[in-house]
Amino acid sequence: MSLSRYLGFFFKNNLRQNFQIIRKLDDEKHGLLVGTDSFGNQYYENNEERYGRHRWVLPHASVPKSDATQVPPGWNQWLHCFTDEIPKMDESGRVLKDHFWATNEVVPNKTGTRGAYKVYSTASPTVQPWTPTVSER
Amino acid sequence: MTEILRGGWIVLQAFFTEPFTIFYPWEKGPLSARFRGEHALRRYPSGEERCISCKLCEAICPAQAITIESEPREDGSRRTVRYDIDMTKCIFCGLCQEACPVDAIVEGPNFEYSTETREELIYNKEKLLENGDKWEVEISRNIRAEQSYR
Repeated sequence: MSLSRYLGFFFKNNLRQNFQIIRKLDDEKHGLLVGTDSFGNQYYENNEERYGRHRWVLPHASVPKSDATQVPPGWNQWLHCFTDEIPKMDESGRVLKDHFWATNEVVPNKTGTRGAYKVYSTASPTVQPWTPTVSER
Repeated sequence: MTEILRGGWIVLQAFFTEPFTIFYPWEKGPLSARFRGEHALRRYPSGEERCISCKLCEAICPAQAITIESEPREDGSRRTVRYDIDMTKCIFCGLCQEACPVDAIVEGPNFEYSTETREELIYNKEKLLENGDKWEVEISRNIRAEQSYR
């Protein structure tokens, strides 16, 4: 940790923000709020930081419940420095979809819960079960 | 004798220099448009699934992770009834998306799909189409960025 960087950012935020940032990100950050998505995740940018550290998300969920998969597609690409464009969103903070069949509902990773994906066969069975019947004598 | 002091000086310097560590997952490193992550089956803008069940991806897959069964649909077009990818076998070589003549199977930008059981990593057609619907925003942008090199 660079002490001067840490203290510089510390005094730019207020105490409440500092509590949130240090608790959720394990580090001190200060930057420009770029957008907020439907989860309430806040996206920040500070180009004075090192490349790769200059964009970050402050998750809305509490520390044990926050997960990388809560970042919606679109914002994910912005975080990955693929584009400088901020995804277009509707008033509720969902990323606009390009096609009617696309989904913009963000479902976090459900592994380990009851809703976890379970594989099933999409093809009809090729073997018919045999039910034995005894004919009358 | 001075080694201890010189070592201590390096430690002190490191304390005041900015770290290179990226605090994943809240900060992420740059990612290429050619990144090969989780698979997805795409659709045409009309909503029709792209896959025409030519089985080129199944044939080229070096890990033999893809299983396809096909049947004619009610309207007579040939479609897959089974499109399974065993993600535990997949080596993420990207040959399936290179073999695909209709850009149906792609390896999207997502790599955050860790699971607790191996069963959850055996993807069927519904799961792959769902991935496609979810990640189309990013997949189409990646393909657009790469189209002059294809």
